[in-house]
Amino acid sequence: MLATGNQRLIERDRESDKCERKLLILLSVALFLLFFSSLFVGPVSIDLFSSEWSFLSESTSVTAVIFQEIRLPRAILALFIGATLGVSGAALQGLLRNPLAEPGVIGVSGSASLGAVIAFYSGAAAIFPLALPIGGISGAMLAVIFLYLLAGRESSILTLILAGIAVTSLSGALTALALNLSPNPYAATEIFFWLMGSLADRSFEHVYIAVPLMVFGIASLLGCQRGLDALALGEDTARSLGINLNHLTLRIIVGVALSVGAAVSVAGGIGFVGLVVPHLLRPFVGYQPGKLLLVSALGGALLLLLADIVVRLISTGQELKLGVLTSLIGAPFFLYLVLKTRRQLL
Amino acid sequence: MSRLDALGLSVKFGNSLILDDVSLSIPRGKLIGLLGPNGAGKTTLIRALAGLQKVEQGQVKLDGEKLSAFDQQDLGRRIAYLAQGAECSWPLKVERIVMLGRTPYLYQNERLREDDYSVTERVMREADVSHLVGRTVNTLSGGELTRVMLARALASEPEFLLADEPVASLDPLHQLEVMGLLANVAHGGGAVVVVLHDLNLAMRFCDRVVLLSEGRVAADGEPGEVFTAEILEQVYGIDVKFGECEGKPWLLPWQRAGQNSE
Repeated sequence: MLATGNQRLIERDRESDKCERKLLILLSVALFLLFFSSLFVGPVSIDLFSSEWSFLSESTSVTAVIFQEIRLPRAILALFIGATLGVSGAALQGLLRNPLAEPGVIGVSGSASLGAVIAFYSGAAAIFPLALPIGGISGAMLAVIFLYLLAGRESSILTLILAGIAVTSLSGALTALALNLSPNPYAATEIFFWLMGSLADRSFEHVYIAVPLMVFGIASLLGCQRGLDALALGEDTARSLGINLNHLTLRIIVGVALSVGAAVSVAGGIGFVGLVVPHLLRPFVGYQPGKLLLVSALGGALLLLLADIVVRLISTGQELKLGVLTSLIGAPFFLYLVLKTRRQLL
Repeated sequence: MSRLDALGLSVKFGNSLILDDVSLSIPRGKLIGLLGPNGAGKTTLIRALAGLQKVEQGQVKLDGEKLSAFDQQDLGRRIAYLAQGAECSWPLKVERIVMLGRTPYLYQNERLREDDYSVTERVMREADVSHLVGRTVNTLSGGELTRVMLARALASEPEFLLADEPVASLDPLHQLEVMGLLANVAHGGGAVVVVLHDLNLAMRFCDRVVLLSEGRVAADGEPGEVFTAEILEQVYGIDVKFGECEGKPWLLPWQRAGQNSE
């Protein structure tokens, strides 16, 4: 009896492991296909074989330049920014134990935007292009340090949420102030377009500066599995199970700040990916917050690559901003989640 | 023989003193009931024993060493804490929750081993939740959920089990079963501290009863010594009727103390 019962639990687990592995493979294959199709979508059509050949031989033909300088960095950024947003959303939802949490909630996106806006506003971005990403990452870093000083020590989740709201409001107000006081309308327009979020016209310079930071941040978040699973049972129980909540909180804050700060600094504000993706994938991993991390990274990358392809396909003339598209889809979804969560509470 | 000691614990929330110089020694092999009126500091004391509560004065020692000197994961293997009101943020499967009790034995993202599964199976049988495998927590009744959480605490195979009102939401049968299970755990060599409101369950199952009143230890001893008419009137302000069944005492809270004499 004992052995058979034991067998059953192991078998159940192996079964669900198999399902999760299938999901990972499915997501990876879809990601691979989308990544390559993303390279061939745009105003100039590129022939698959010739362009790849010219890319490899580092020719300077027009198609090779388009491929190398425009399409490839754009696809790479979509991949990593999507993964960043997906895994950050999943990690924050696990930490705050709230399906409505998002990188925006703890104020990292907002303050990263503010950092980038300051780079615009001061004119530094016009003088040297790297000022923009540096501004964004500094903004995110400041938010992290502020959050940690305010909420890190006692690691109460409510304090963290409230601190996040404060950071978001403050950076929003300062961004509005910059727009308000902008001496020339051109700068204001530039800021305005920046805030919408887009992947158009990004170069390998952006890839080099942002991707390593995003990789570091994503890796930090993926290591939080066990802690997030235990946290599902509450802060006290997680601590009694040997989880150091201060470390876990710090690790998630730093991971989110690094990856989201870098992402925002190269692409502006792209909202709701971190909300939609974990929500859709959660049932497939048995609602386990730890298992959700990796699949959300893949799912986020998938969604953003897809959205970026859609943006290019449906745009004629003025390209629709990626951030506008994700918000148009994400905001009603957010409302739906709010209504659903409220019904559960009642 | 390992032991858990509270030495002169004082805890303040703002200006009010929740625990006032509480000392307590918990040897292994005993089921200890922690009782007292609402607001007496039972939950605060049990959280302090689990190392979850900041204390202003005094300290909690495990084998003579301060809790803070221990590695947190090591502590997780030795002391299990069962929180009041089973909290679970996501609709996880029952067996998944019980397996979370094995967390202190795993490092980083390490997977469960064979013996983790066998321990999970065993404690699920002990807590009478084996038949709930595959169900998600949001479909369980209050009593089922409590027993699942108890199985989770047992899955850590702790030396000390600290349970905050584990029988509050259970029907009489499951109250008896859970108390019997806790007594078994204690008499099998573990130490169990259980916060209770039911004087009879404490009388019937506990080897020792600690009665808290306004943050102080009002009485500490065997149930027969602690549950006297005088002490219960002092601490709870009630008159109690006593009886005996199969040679064992029971008691019944009857009325507010001094009601008849007026």
